[in-house]
Parts: sequence; structure tokens; C-alpha cells
Amino acid sequence: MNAPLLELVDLTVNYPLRGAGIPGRSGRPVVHAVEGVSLTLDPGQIVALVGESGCGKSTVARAIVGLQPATSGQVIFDGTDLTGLRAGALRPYRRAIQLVHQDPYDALDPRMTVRAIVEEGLRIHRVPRGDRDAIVHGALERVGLTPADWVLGRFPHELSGGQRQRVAIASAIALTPRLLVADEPVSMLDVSVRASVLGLIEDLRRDGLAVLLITHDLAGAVTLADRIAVMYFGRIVEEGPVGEVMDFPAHPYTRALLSAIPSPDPAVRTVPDVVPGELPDAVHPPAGCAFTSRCPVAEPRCGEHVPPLRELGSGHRAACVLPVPR
Amino acid sequence: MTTTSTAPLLEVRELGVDFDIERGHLHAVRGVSFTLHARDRLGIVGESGCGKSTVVLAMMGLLPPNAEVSGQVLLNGVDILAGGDSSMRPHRWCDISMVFQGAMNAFNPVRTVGDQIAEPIRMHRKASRRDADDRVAELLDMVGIPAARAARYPHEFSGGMRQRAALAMALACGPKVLLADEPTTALDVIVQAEILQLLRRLSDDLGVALVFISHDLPAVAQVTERVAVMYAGRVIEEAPVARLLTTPRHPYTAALLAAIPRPRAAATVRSIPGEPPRLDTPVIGCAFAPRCPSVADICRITEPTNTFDSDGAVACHRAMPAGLPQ
Repeated sequence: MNAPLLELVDLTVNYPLRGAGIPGRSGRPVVHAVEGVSLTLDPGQIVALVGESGCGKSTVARAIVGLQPATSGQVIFDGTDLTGLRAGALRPYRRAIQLVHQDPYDALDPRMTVRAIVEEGLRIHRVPRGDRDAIVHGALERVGLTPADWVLGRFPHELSGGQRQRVAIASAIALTPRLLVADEPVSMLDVSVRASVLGLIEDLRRDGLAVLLITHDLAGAVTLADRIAVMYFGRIVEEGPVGEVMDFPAHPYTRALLSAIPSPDPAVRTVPDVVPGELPDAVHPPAGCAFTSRCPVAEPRCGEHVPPLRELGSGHRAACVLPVPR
Repeated sequence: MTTTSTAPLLEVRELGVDFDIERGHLHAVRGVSFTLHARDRLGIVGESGCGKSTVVLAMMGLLPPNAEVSGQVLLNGVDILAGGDSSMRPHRWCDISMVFQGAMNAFNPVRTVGDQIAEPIRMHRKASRRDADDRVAELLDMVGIPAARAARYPHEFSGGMRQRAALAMALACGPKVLLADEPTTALDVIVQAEILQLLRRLSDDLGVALVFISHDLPAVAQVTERVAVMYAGRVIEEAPVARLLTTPRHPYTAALLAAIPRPRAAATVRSIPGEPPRLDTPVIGCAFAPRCPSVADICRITEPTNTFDSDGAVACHRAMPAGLPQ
């Protein structure tokens, strides 16, 4: 087996709580956004990181692309731990890992033309001026904005949501990255356009690009990803090949997510398999499993300690102390 | 639902909306008609820009001054659009109410949630503070929020709870018709499923007629009995939800269905190629013709009119015959 392209080892990210405690002193309260996340991604693989808002999935994305320093743990890309690198040494990796943001309406500078937007990264990464035009054309045509000349001089407001997201993806792939971190790339788009943007991501993977797809849309993720990792309250609670996780969801939270996907059949009423409850407080995380407060099958022992991810076979892992229904 | 002999609660007849813009006129809504009895639930689906939000804003008399509204909105047989704002005002919030897109983010952050829900009660029902507070407690209970949370501020609520509170506010004056514009779009799947359940229950318990606007057909299928599909400002197909989902008659409806990701289906998700037409130039022929897989010559020349069958209507020259499975 090849070496993984990306390996997260025990990644933890805390956000200091602003205006609380004394800066620099230990004991200053922090928000535990990401706790001990370990995940690997092979070249050309699509891994979906799925979870509700606030579960820490975007923080994982920010830590991978270097927008958010890790509190502890490692982000190993192609054998190199990026967490310890200085800005200069990090530069080639910043090019190799590209981020596509959620909101194509906000991510593009409204005063820049499409040409300037796609070219910006090339300028920053010192691609020779003479090569840029061809790269910009190639990237725009690759994402289906053809003819590229039509779109080059346009401003973002002249484009539809789907076209904007394609421009954002074009500016990412213009830098020939090896890993694309796509943070909710379709959640702002119409259903009719979503499929085509997801299809584009699939095409890019066929070219050898690895993709970490961050999403709350389990149904969309399943159609695209090879592996799926489910996050809850800062931790991965289940991870494995898509088929395994779909057919034998081992964590009650994964089962709850699956049960909540609205059925397009009106005769099948969607009833989410959770008990009404709230997320725990991220400043004072509970001692036990964080899903206990909403879990339909929780037992007293679930509150005792955080269950570790257990191996279930076929590369399928889940963090639940209860037996898995098969 | 269609054969109820009692007089309808709400009748929308040939509703049209033109916007006066710098470049001329924008025909946002054309010839939209539907009928609702108490407890009826109608979904309106379509892509961004198809006019679905404009329909409900017109029904509330909340469009900007450059909008020209034609047609009638009959509430218990009386046209509430006829006399401009003064004929609308007694009905707005009291008889016809609305949950806005993004309502959960529209709360004033420096006032308590209870205080904000009480506002329409005090304004429209001229209720005393104590009566209003009692009503707020009742409303919160109805949407599944402990009444004690009334004294809390919006930031102390989760997204799902803010959306429940927005629903409580829309129901504050006991409306007979509730218009919900994308009430679940920004929510996580589990919360979305809970809100869909809540909408169903509220309409059953309170006898409220519901118009549910969404681009998400499965979500609509979970709540409403009938669905109207809008394209480029017109309703192009209307039918009972089960019929529409199993045997769509309009090619656009069929294309929308093919774009829904289904986690356990082998079928690949297909997007709809092309873009909806511009609405500032008159549409010649069928507005969907340039994107339609079954387009014929006549579609480019003559705009199809509605043909009615036993339980619905479709506007297509090439409509699939009614009642035949595909």
C-alpha cells in the first residue's frame, strides 16, 4: 500500500475563550473545538468528514491548510509534519493543499475579475508571468466554464452560484494541488446545481487529486466519497469505507444522521432517531461520551469515560462502548 | 383535498409580479394560482430565482415599491390585495403569517427571545404585558421550547431552537395561513427533520394552512400533500406529492427528481445542464426549452398553457401522459 498523502495524528485544536481568565496563565478557559482527531487520506481518495455545525469539522479543515495552528498533534502531509514548519518552509505545502470555501458568494472578491481571481494564487506562488494565461484558461475549462474567454473579464456578481463555485475551484486547481479541502462546497447551491459540482469533484479525483470533503450533507457525501468520517463534538465517532458505514452504522449518532435524511417518498415519514437534547458545553466537556445527552440507547456507563475508537474490521472504526447491531 | 366542497380559506388567482428595474421590466412571477383550505399543506419548489419567495412576499404585501403586483389573493373570499397596504394590514401576521428565510438569524441579539415573540402580540392584539407573557409561554411550549427559556437571549439558543422560536413568533397572533420560506435550509439534518415534524404537527393541531417553500423536494415531500413546481416565474406542474414524485409529467420536474442524492440508490445523481432564462426579456416558447431533454420544435415557438387532469395540472407540450408509470 502507498504511503498516505495526509495523516492527521491526534490533532487537537483549542480556541482560547476571549475575555476570560488571565492571558498566559494556565487554567485560562478554552473551547475544545477538535480533540484527538486521527485520519488518513490516500492519494486520489475522497474522504468525507461529516457532522453538524459546531462539531469541529471546519476547524479540522483550517488546521490542515494552516489557517489555524494545532494545539497539539500532527498534520503530516506527504511524510512531513506541517505543524512545526515556519512560513517559508510551509510555502510549497500551502500550494499543494488548496481550500475551497463554503460560500461562493463571499469567497470571491467582488471587485476582481475572474481572470484576476484565478491568477492571484499563481502570482503569489511566483508562477512565471508568461505561463499564467495558459494555466488560467486551462483551469477554467477544466471546471466547465467554457469558453474561458467568455468568463475571464466577468465579475462575480455576473455569475450564478454554481458558476462562482466553479471559479473558486478553478483558482484552487490552477495551482495543481495534490489535496483539495472542500468545506461545504455545495451547501449554498441549488439542488439542481449541486450534482454538477459534486460531479466536477469526482472528475478531479480521476485526475489523481485527493479530496477531503467537509459537509453536513450525508446523502451527498455518500454518493461521492470512498471513506466517511463522522464527527461529533470535536471527535471522530465513526470512520470507515462508505459502504460499511452505510450498511452497518456502528455509532448511534451515525444512525441518527442516517435516520434524519428526508425520504423522497412521502409515505415514509422521516423520524430522526435521537432523544431531544442539547450539545454539551465545549468549554467544560463531559467526562463520558458527548452523545449521551441525545443518544436513544445510552447507558449509565456511557457517562464514565470517552470511548476510544474501536476497530470493527474492514477498516471500520467506531467510538461506542455498546455492541453494534448487525 | 381538491374535492372539498366548503369555500376555500385562501385562493390565489393569476398572481403576477413585475419588478421595475433600470433596464426595463423583470417578470418575476406570472399567472400563479392555487387554493388552500384549513390544514391544507402546499409545497412550492424550484431553483433560486424561480419566483417562489416573490409569490409569498406578494401574498404578505411585503414587496419593495418597484414591484407591480397583479391578480388576486382572496382570504375567505375577500381580495386582500385590492386596497393596497391598508387592506392588507389587518390581515398581515393575524390571518396570514410568515417565517422568513434565515429568520433564525434575524432575532435582535440584545433583547430576550420572549420579548421579541411578545412584540406582535402586543402590537396586533393590543394585549397587556402579562397576557402577552402567558401567550409567549404557551407558544414556546407548542414549538417544544421550555417556557423558562423566554427570558434568554438569542445567542443562548442553538440554531434549531432559534428556528423553533421564529415559528412561535410567526404563530403568535393565531394566523390561519402560514407561509414558510425555506424554513429548514440552513439547518443540520437532524434538526431539519425535527422542524419538518413540528411543521406537520402544528398545521394538524392548529388547523393552519401551510405554504412551504423550498428547493429541497424530499423535505417538502415530508410535510405537504401537494406540490407546485415553479420555473422562471410560472407554476409548470402541480400535483399531489406522491404522484409528482413517482410519475412527474413535466421534464423539469423529472430533472429535479434526478438531482436528488439518494444514499442507498445505485443511480447516479444528474444535474440539470444550463441555466434558467433571464427574466428581463420576454420568454418566447417554453422557458425550459433550452435545457429540456425532450424539447420539440413547438416548444421554442409557443408557450404551453396548463392542461388539467383529475388531480393536478401541467404546462408542457411534451408532458408525460397522466397516470402512466415511467
